Amino acid sequence: MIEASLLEQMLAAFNGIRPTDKELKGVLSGVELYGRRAARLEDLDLATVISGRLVRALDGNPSAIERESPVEKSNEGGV
Amino acid sequence: MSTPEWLQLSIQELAPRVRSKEISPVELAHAAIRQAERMQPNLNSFITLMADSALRQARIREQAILRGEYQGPLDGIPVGVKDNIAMAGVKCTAGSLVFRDFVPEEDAFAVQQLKAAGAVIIGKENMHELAAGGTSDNPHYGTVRNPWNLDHIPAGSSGGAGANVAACVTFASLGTDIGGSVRTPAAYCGVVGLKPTFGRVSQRGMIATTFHGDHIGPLTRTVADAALVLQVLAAYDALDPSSVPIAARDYSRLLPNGLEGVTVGVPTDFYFEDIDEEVEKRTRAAISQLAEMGAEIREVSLPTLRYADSLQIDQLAEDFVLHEPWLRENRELYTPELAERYLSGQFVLGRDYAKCLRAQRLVKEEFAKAFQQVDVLATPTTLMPAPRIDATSVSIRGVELPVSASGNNMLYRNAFPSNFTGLPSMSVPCGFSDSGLPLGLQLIGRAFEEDFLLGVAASYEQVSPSKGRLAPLVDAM
Repeated sequence: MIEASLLEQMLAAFNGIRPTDKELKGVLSGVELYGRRAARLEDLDLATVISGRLVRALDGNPSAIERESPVEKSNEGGV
Repeated sequence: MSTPEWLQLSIQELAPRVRSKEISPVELAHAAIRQAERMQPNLNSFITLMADSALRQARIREQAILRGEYQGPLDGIPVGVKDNIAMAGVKCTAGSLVFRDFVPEEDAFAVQQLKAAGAVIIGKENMHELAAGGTSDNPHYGTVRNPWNLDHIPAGSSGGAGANVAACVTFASLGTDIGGSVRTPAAYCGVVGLKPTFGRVSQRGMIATTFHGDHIGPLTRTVADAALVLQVLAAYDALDPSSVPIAARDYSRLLPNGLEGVTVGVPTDFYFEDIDEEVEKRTRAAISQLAEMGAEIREVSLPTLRYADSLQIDQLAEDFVLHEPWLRENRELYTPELAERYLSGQFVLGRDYAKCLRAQRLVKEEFAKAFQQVDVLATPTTLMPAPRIDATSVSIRGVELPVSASGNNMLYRNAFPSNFTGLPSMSVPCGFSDSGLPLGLQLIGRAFEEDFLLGVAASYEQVSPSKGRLAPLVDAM
């Protein structure tokens, strides 16, 4: 549960846009939804996503770059 | 042939008759404008109808064609443009009060391309407010209605575009797609919608963009027409940093050429989960038809898509940053729900934004692996048939789900992954629900292989139960 007072502190600290009292309920609901979605990402091992990582070509399959283009293949009777 | 029958032709059928001077661009423009005026009370598909300028442009094209200066298949063809794509001197509202007085000084690149090809733009089309939802139930410019059943939504955000193409008002319309906004209206309106590869079509001149997930793409009545429009749009734009300098292909050369040797992937994750039974039945029937035509069908796994809801955190932050100036100064111009959604985006932590992008990267890698095994993916475009306009919820397999609550993405769930992967994706009509509402088959291809994707789609189109069917509104005219 996120308290409105926490949002108020964040807005003051980071020059945010203060919701009106009427808007506050909807904004809190949106922030809580975001929080739940962000929490789900904790299940993923994102440390493995690094720039040097390569998608491994499947055994027996050429890499995406080496593979025959389906467009070229189409010249031989396919689509 | 009477004028209304002209309007039911495809661009591919019509273009040779324009070229041969059998059909006059001026007569064609008159017919399209009459049809627009006749349909507007029912569909509310335009924000600005441009009758005078369309007729002026049609006269110019007619004279040019008479002089032998035919510009190609779009020459003299009436088209529409979504109202978040700039046209010089024409109001561009993005379906919002924020931009109600915005009159761009120049054309969007895509509009420049259409005009150079001789197309006659007849109006700016209604849409969901700020392209921020999937109903096109616009509180400021009125509710867009579905030509197949006026009580139902046409989807969105390019709802006016879908409705106009389905109702034979335009032969093609330009839509924009940040989360399925070309493909879902195409599916619900029974037409073809193509979201090209990110970077294939310049997004310069499109307002309310996030820059990394927005696409401009055509809605048309046939796959061949989508290829013709893409041919015109697909050009490098040095002034759009997201435009990719890859030569356009001949997008019509594979239309249709059979499916022998083509491998179609069917995802075992995400796309078929929690969908309406009718939608699943029609989609699987379409996949069976692809197999009967010679395609090999292979299951593929895209496991990280189970985190789909979390893959939109970046959008939340982007929306806030985009709208921050107006949220500070003119918040009353937004509908309250939209303002609240955007305001919540200012609390997204940079950490979570970066994690979202990394998780998207995982999904992109899974698609890359899948495309080592298959040539295209086939999925349902939408989870269910078009809901009623007044529906607050729909029932899917006995579960009541809200149609358009804040943060709910059930109207475009199956479409939005292609926005962050950037892969070309299209919706092709694949039959109807029991209540007669159109459904769409989504085909997803490899980056910049739109010619191949269109070829597969055109092959399917030949056997689709939707072939030759027009919306009842058109039959009644």
